[in-house]
Amino acid sequence: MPKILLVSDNEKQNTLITTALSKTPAAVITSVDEDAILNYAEKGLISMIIVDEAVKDPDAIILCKKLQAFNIRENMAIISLIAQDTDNIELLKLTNAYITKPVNEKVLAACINTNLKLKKAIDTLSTNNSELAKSLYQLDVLYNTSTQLAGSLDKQKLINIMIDGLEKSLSFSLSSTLVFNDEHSIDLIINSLYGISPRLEHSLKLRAILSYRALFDKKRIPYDINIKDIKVIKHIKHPLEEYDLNILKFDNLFAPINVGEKFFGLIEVFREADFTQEDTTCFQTLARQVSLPLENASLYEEIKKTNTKLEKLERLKSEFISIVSHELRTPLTAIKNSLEICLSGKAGDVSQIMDKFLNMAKRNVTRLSGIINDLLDLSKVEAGKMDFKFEKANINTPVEFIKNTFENVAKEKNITLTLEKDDNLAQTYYDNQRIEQVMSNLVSNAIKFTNDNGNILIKTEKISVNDIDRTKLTDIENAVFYDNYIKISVKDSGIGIAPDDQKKVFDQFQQIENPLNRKNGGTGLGLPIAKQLIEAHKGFIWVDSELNRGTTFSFVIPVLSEKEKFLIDLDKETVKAKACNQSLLLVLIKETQDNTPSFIEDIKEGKISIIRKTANTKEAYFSENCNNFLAVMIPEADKFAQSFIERKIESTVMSQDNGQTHKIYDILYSSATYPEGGCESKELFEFVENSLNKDVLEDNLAEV
Amino acid sequence: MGDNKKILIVDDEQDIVETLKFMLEAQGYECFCAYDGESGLNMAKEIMPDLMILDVMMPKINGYKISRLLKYDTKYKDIPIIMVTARSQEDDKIIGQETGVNEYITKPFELDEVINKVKEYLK
Repeated sequence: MPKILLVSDNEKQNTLITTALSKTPAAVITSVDEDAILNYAEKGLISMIIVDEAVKDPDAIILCKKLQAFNIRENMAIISLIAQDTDNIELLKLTNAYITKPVNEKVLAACINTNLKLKKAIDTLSTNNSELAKSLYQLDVLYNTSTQLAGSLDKQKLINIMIDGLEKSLSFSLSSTLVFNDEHSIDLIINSLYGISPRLEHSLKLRAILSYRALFDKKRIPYDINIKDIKVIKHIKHPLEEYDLNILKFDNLFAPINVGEKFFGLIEVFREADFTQEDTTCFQTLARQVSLPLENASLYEEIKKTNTKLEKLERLKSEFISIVSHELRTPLTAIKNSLEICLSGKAGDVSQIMDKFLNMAKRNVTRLSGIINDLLDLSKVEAGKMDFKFEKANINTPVEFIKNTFENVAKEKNITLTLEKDDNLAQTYYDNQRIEQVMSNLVSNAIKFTNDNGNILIKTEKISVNDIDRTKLTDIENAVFYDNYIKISVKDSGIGIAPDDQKKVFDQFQQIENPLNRKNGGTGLGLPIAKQLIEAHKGFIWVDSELNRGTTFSFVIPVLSEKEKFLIDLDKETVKAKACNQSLLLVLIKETQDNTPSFIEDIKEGKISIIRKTANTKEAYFSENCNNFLAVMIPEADKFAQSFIERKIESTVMSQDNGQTHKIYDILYSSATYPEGGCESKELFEFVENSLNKDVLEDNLAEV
Repeated sequence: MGDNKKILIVDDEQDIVETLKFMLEAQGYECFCAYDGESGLNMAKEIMPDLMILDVMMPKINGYKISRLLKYDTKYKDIPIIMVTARSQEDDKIIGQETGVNEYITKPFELDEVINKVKEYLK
């Protein structure tokens, strides 16, 4: 019921007005106590005030001024009672309406009713308006929060984003969020306006456990939680004041955070003012919105864990193979040496039969060495530890060399070994030793699996990327394709490989069921190694075969421009640098005049300077538009610093010999101890000096 | 044969030292043996060998360091050094060469290979 406050000390008039207003839906109270009047107004308890002009204590004008201060939103109508001939303009200005004295009952009722209606209309409008504003704000928060949620895969962060969103949209007094990390690590995150008393903290813990249990049938609880397992994380805004148990009487909202069966936690919020229906919807939406990203985050975490584990295992395997192989070499050498001594006859006469068995032993030791070398090669190339010496040359050279090497072996089986080479092949970057290794493997396999009187054709040709049948390739998810390739193929008229086995031939330790293979021994590692070696060349290897008709092994190596080659090298070095938490240094080498430049002199004379230390070396390459670069990294400073200097001299000389303008120098290694930020040549010199054994450097300098 | 040339073999693997020594002595060389880097270095300075066969991984001082210390000392820098190691990474070879090593042989090696190299340097 709207309340009307009447401020007048005229008893007779008061009775008249009260009687008149008893016909309206309003209740009337009278008062002339200023404090009481202002108190009513401040609390918004009254809809209308009628002030008699004649009131002296409090003074009508002063009172109206004070009342206006509480009436910013016009939710209280102030009406004055004035004499018909009044000149009290000031009072009229301060009031919404006036009634002249003596009061006419009908006029009074009409005026009051009108004002009450007006007041009601304003009230409704302002309520709607503020609700609308609130809804808009909540929507905005929801939108922002969901955008933020979508952008994170970090569990902790997601929960914080949700709580933050709730705080903005609901302005809660306290929120208590139970988050499951795993069975024995449970966080209770409390965000509160004021501090938390110890017993409130304890009861919030208990409350969370009880709410959690209440969510499930007793038998279905994912895991029972112990109050001791809960770690409390508190975020307090105003720590000077403190909440106690009474906060639990505040209005509260509760929601579990889960996706289907998967349970992440629960959240409860408390607020002194009651929550509206919109608040509830907003709360539930947010709690629901966080669960899906949380599920993603936990899946992501799992994948990451598995991945790290796998990487570790892979590394352990490589290290294991490498260590074992190294350890095997020394005893093998001792055995081999002893056998050789016996066979040489220097340790005494050797009978024919002894000679036969000693030779047998020696042959098998040699075979064992071969297997160890294979294993070592594979582990090295897999671990990225194999060092390649890529040089620009014609690939016909190693191919021809291998053909000549195997000519006699082929002759023994009366196999015709032919080489059909393209003499106009573009030069390309390859490691001669490794290509020979691959070719030797392919050709020896071909001879092994080709019956007497068969033929083997080795062919080199240039092809374009479109000529490669990608369906034949394996492990090309991350492969980069270049425009032009050189293709080398070895085609035999041998026993062939069954279609099911064709993809397997490049897998490690996969021995295809084949009596010939067994008879001929071997680790089955030759082709996997070949694949790794070719992939290190940014090339591909594949097989075409038909049972009993023959097999063709082919591989391609890209024809790279110097720029492409440089970028590949930089990528490789960047990966290496990242693996040992180092950054890559890019060093600019200016052309030197004489033919015997020395690295140290270059530094001294400022011919070599570090242009920038950057993660984005590609950018540096182009923007500086410079001829000569050297990327320098030295992981084991002492050991490498010297080779660094000498190799530098070598490559500088080399580059001048062939007079190329865009020669890209050797790629070396940098140090973790390298000074932060950019470097002048002086600093580089100091660095090299410090990294080296000082005496040695002085000797070096003396020689220079 | 041999002309009483002195060869110092430094390797912590006694069996390897033994077989090398046997074969080299059979060629008429006088052989000295050390089983760790420190005594190897001392012995080198003491007996001034005509050639050294050095292992890389050894207790106390490794082969590279011995090589470096000798090669940058004018008194010893002309002693040829043959480095023998189970390690076979390209880098090791490069370091070996850069620390002044004359030859680099990877285990398991052929005795003949070592002997031929020795003969080449002691011609």
